[in-house]
Amino acid sequence: MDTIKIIFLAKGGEGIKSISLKLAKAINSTGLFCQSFPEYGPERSGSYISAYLRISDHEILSHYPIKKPTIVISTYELQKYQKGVFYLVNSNQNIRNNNIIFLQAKKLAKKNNCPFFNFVLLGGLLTILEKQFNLDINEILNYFKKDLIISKKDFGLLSLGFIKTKQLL
Amino acid sequence: MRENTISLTGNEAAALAIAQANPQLIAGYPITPVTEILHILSQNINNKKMISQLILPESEHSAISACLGASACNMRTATATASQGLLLMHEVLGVVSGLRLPVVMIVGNRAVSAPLNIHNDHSDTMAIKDSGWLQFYAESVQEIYDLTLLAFKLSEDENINLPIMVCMDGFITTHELNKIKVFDNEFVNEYLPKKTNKNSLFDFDDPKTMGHLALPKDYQNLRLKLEQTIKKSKEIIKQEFSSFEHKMNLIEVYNPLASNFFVCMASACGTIKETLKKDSDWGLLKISVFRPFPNEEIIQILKGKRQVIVLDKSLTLKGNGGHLYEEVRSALYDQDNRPKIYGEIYGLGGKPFYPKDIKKIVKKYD
Repeated sequence: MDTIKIIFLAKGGEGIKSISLKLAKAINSTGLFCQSFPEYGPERSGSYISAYLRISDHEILSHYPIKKPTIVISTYELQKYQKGVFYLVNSNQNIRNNNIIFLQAKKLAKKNNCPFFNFVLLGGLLTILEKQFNLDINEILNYFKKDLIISKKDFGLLSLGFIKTKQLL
Repeated sequence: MRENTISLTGNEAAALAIAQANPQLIAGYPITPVTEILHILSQNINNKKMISQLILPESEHSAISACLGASACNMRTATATASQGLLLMHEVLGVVSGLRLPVVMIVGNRAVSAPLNIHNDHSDTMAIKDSGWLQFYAESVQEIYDLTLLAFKLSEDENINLPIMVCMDGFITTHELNKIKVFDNEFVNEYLPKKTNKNSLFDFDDPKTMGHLALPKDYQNLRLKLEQTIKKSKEIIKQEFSSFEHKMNLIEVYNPLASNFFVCMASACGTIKETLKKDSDWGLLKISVFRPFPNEEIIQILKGKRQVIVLDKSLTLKGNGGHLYEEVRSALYDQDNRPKIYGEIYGLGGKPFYPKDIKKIVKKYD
């Protein structure tokens, strides 16, 4: 398989590093290889941060930040969208525009009394990985459930993001 | 032996190896990018998963001094630091090695001030490269785990008895999560030497003093003996690396038949391997053990090659490029058929090192 390269864009404290690491652990529990690492400075909370994730069927040796992503997940709307890249963006509307999916992730989480919407985006990402990149996500979901690396509440948010994104695809 | 495949970050892998080695004393002053190691060890001790004593003193100078004292009493000791913290330890580093005390230190390689920078390069460990500590450099999360266990084993080898630094790239491999193979606690327990009271300051049947004055008639001999021990340690390290369950070597060679070679250390080696094609005329010599420096092994691989490009993540600040460049050049100097040797600086203060940068260097020298 071609390496799937994902960039997560967020502000420090929105939990994007957390979902990137959890997803990497889950993917590593299947037969695939996954590498995840964050990029931030000393300022942390509230400042712009990135996290990177590579998925492959062979060992990943590179350690540099991803420049040409396959998928971008963002907690805020971007000024520019590159052609050929799949986007999942937290937005005020639920709409698909070619390869860009705008999802009301924050609103969905708030409706469920949760201030954090990172798991809604993770659910959306799993839909994209399954539908657009033919990744078998059952093992990943089982790992989340079985190994309890995410709480029941977060799993609920993940499911909401999963279903909503599926509708938009 | 039971082996598990799990996902860990570099800091977690180092903390796991330390926890499995179960040092009697851990002393450290938390510093970015290795703060997490002390968090994890502190949690382990709090949850009674380890029986170590953890000291968080007022500075890195005190932390390494505590390790010195504990090691002199034959306790297994560990610490973790980076950058300014390592430089603050400098005065004591030479005392630890001069007294031949085994201590394992994890360094999350980080740039030194000024200007202030918390990201990766090798300026910190290169500044203390000649302090008598052995230095291992890890390319990946797997190597961080393996080299930490090897460091405990080798530092306590009675023919070595020297402190060892395990260096990992700050915010690169320290924070990267990857799939690695780890041993169970029983295996590590059997693998590492059993601590005894032999040669301890607390061996009251064989009382001794340490750190005494050496006058001119003795000082030079003692320092020369220290250097001889460091030199001789290379063969012991080599044997231990090759017999280790996850086989390692002082150096690793990629594309051995190539006529042009990169020489590099730590995480950038992975990126170089993925960038160079298998049938390329460019190869890589990765140095895993920087101290003792593998002169003979480097000569064996690089003599007769067309050219060698040494990649450095540190500057000598004397107009001569990087530290590794000087070392490789010096190793090859006496060879009649030595290659042309050039130095390139990359990745200072965390500047990313992309495949395009590697290709640019190849184009420049091809």
